[in-house]
Amino acid sequence: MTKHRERFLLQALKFEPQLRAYFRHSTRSRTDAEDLLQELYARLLRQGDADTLVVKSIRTFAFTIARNLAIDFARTRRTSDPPAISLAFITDAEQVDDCRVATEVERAVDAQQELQLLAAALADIPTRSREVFTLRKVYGHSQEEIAQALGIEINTVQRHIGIAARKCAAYLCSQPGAPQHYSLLEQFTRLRRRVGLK
Amino acid sequence: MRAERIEREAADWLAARDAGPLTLEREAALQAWLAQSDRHGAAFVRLQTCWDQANRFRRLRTPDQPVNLDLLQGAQRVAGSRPWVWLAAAAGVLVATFVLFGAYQSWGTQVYRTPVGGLARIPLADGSVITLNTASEVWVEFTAHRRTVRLLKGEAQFTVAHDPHRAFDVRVGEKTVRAVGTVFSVRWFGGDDVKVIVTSGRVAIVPTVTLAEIPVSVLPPSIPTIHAGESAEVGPHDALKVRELGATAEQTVSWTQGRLWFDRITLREAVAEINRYNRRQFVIDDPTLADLHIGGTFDAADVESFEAALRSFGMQVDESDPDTLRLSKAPQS
Repeated sequence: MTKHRERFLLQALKFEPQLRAYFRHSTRSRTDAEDLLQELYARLLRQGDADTLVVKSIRTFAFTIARNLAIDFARTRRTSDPPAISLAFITDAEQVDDCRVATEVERAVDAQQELQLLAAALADIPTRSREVFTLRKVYGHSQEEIAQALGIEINTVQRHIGIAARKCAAYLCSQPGAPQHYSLLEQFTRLRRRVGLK
Repeated sequence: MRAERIEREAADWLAARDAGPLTLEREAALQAWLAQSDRHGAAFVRLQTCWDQANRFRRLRTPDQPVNLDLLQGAQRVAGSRPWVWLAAAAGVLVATFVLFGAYQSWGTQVYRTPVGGLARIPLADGSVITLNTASEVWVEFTAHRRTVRLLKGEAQFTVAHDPHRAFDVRVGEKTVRAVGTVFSVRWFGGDDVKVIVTSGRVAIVPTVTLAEIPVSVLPPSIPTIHAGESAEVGPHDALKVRELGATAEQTVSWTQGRLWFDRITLREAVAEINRYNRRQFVIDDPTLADLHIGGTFDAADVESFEAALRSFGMQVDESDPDTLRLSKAPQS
C-alpha cells in the first residue's frame, strides 16, 4: 500500500457511523459530534505524514484518538470525563465490516435497493440539486451540459453540486461495511494522480 | 458549526473542480485553503473521495431509456403523497417509506420484501444490517427510544449495532427476540414455531405482551438468554428448545451467502428447504425416499446441481411438467 498522508483517514471512513455514534454519545450534541469527527479526520491526516508509522488496526487507532478527543472536549466543558469506549462500539464495527459477502443475486437486487436508499438519503435537499446530481452522477453529463439542459448558470450548477456532494458523502460513509470502502484508497491514488493534490 | 462551515467550503471547492481543471490562480487559492488547516484537508479528501466514488451510481440508470430526472425522487414522493405507497422494484425488493412528522422527531416505517429466490442485504440507519432470505418480508420502525423490526414471514439475519439506550427487537408472531448488539437469525412461517440462531452475542426471547413491563434498554435478567452458537426453537405454549450448534452455527446461516447447508437431514426436509428458493418445486413421488438422509452444500438458486446430487444418490428426476420436478428411485440396471 502506498504511504500517502490520506491513508489513515480513508481507511477510517468506513467506521464513520460508529465514530459518529461514539461522539454523539459522549458530547450529547450533534454539532459538537460533527466537530470532533472532523477534528479526528484532521488528526488522522496529520498522522499520515509520518512515513514510518505502522498501524496494525485502523479501528483501534481511530477509536483511541476519538477517545482522547472526547476527553479533551469534556475537560474544556468542565463536565465529567466521557465514558470509556465500550468494546461494543468497536466489535460491532468489526462485525458489520465482515458481514458483507456479495453474491450474484445480491448484486442484482442491490441496484434497485441502492436507488431507494440513495433517494432516501437525498430526500431533504432541493429538487433542483437532486436533478443536477442525477444528471452528473447517474447519467454522467458534464456541468456545462447540465447548465445548458436545465437553462441555468454554471455557478448555479456548482451550488447544487456542492449541496448534493455533502449528502452523497454522508450516504456513502453511512453504509456499514459496504464494499466500496475497500477500494477507497485505490481510488484516491488514482484521483491524486489526476489532479496532483499535494 | 465550525465543522459545517468547513464542509461547505470544501464542497464549493469540489464543485468548482468538478467543472474541469482550475485556473492556476484558483488552484493556488485551493492549495492555500488546504494548507490553512488539516481540517480543511480532511473535509476535502472525504468529500472528493466520496464524490469520485459516486460514479458507481451510473449503474442505476436503465440503458436504452431516456434521461429520467425524477430517478431519485422516489422516496420523497412516497412520503409526501399518501400514507402507504408500495413501490415495486423490478428486481424484486419492495420498499415503502411512511413518514410522519412528530413534534421533535420523525418516525418511519420501511417495508422490505424479497421474492422467491431473492436475497437482499439492507443497511439500516443505526449501522445495523438485515439480510433478508428468499420470500421474506420485514417492517422496520426506528424511533428515538426503540428499534423494532417485524418479521412478517420468512427468514432474516440481523447484525445489530450496539446501542445501550435502544434495544433491538424483532417481533415475530406473538414473540419478541431482543438484542443489544449481536448477530442472530430468525425464521418464521406463521403459527407458533419460531426458530432463532445466534452467531454472536446473546438474545432473549419473550412473549411480546410481557415486553411492555420490562425496561427497554436491557436484556431482562429473569429471562433465559440464547447465546452465540445456540439455536432455539419456540413451539406451541412457549416451549423453548435450545440446542448447542457449536462450530456449525455459521454453516446453518450459510443462506446469507446464497448457499444451503444440509447436515444429514431427510430428503423430505431438504426438498422443503430448496423449494423455498425456487419456483419449480420438487415433489417426492416415492415415499420410501422421503426419509433418506442427505448432506452437502448447495447453491440455493441452482436447482440443477441439487438434481445432479440426487441422481448420484440413485434417484431419477421427471422433468416433463414445467412446474415440478418429480423424484423417484432409478430403476436398477
